[in-house]
Amino acid sequence: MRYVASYLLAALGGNSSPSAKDIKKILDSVGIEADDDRLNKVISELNGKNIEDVIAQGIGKLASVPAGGAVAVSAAPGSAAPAAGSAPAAAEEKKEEKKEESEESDDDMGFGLFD
Amino acid sequence: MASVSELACIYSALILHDDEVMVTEDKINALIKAAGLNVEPFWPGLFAKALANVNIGSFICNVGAGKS
Repeated sequence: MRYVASYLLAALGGNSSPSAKDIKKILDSVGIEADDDRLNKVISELNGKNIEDVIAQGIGKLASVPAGGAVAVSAAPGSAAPAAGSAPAAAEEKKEEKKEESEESDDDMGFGLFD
Repeated sequence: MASVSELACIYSALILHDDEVMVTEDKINALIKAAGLNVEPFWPGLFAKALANVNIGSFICNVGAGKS
């Protein structure tokens, strides 16, 4: 998640295609480590895409899903709406990290809503 | 839609939260500066104070619920 958030932060700065170096610089400023593989994957998925489109798509997806599902969608990438657009892209890599937490909340929320 | 300054603080807070680093004004400032952004000076302090007593994780999980 931190990669998506820092990518978005870099893009806000007017840099529509942040590089791995830009993002590392951002994370380094607060002493946060960056895993190169994950970083490059996030960059390659988001690169060149119009950030506003990604956010709009993400919000559209969130709106169309009931509250229980939305928790899963947002818990998986673990970030707010802006990052939800890259959820499909980042879902695989985030899955391993977030699987434990989101699985439990998935089961509870999902069943509760669809009863 | 939030202004650029607000978004910058929000993303900074998310980055810090993801690494379980405490969200303080200095850290938000550092992130924003590293990203080459310019925000009005009161935002980072405002966000740091506002988020100091809040469980950011619960905000994230409730994003979908807030829509209805």
